[in-house]
Amino acid sequence: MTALVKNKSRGIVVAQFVSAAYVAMAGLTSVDVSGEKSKTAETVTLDGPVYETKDPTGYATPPSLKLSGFYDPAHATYTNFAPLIGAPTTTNFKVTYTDAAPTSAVYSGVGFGLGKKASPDKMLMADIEIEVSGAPS
Amino acid sequence: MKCKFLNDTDTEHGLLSPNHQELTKTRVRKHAVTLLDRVEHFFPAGTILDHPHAYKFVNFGMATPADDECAAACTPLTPSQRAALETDYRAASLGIHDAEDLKLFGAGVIAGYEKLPNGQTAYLPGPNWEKWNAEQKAAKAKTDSEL
Repeated sequence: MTALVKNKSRGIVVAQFVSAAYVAMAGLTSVDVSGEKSKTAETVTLDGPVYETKDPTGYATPPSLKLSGFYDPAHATYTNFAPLIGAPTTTNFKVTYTDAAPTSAVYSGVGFGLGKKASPDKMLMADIEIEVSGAPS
Repeated sequence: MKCKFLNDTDTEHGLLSPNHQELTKTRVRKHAVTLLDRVEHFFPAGTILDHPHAYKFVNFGMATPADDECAAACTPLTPSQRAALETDYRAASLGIHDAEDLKLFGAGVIAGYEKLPNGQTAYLPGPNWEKWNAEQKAAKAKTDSEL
C-alpha cells in the first residue's frame, strides 16, 4: 500500500471517439463520473432478524458521465456530441485522470443528453450527460 | 482523402480497419477501475490517415490536409485562424481548460502539465518560459522598489 495522494483535477482529459480517433472535449469546467454501483437484492424472511438483509446479485450499474463546460454550438466538442441525441449510436468516451500513472478508462456511451444554461452573471454553459452501457474498458 | 496528425492522437484499435490498425503504436496505461495495465493505441504525430472523414480532423485542429481532396473539403481558414484552432485543440488534448493557463499556453510560456508523483501538477516549460519568468521577476523587482 502507498500513502494517499491528493491529485489535482487540473489536467483531466475527456475525449469522444469520432470516425477514427479520440477528439478531446474543450472548455470543460467539471467532470463527474458517478453512479457506478453493485446491485443488491433484499433477502428478508419472515423469521429473519430485525435488521433487513441483502445479498449481492452479481450485477452492477455502470456510471454516467456528467460534464459541464462553456457552450459554443460551433465548436467540435458540441458539433460532435449534439448529433448523438437525435441519432444515438454507441460511442466511446475516454477519461484520462491526472494521477502520475496516469489512469484512464473508456466508457461505452449509449444515451446522450445536452442542456444549455444562460444566466446574467455567467457565461453560456452546457451540461452533457452520457449514459454508459457495460463495464469501463 | 488524407490528413496528417499534428500530435500523438489516441484511438481505439478494435474500431479501426486493418489498414488503419497498422498505423498505430501502443503505450501502457493503468485502468482507472481495476488498476491493471492496459494497452492504449495511438496514431503518432505525423501519421497520414486516409479516411473519408479526414477533413473532420483538420477542422477540429488535430491535423493538416495531406492531399488536395482533403484540403478542398475543409472549412477555409486564414493562417492565423488555423494556428489559433490548432493551439486550442492542443490545449484541450492536454487537459488545459483554465483561462489563465490557456493564455500561457497560447503565448508559448507553458507546454502543458507535468503530473508529479505527489499528486501535484507543475507547468511544463514552453519555448517562452525563460523570457516570461524574466519578465515576471523584473516586474516584481520594479514593484518592490516602488514600495
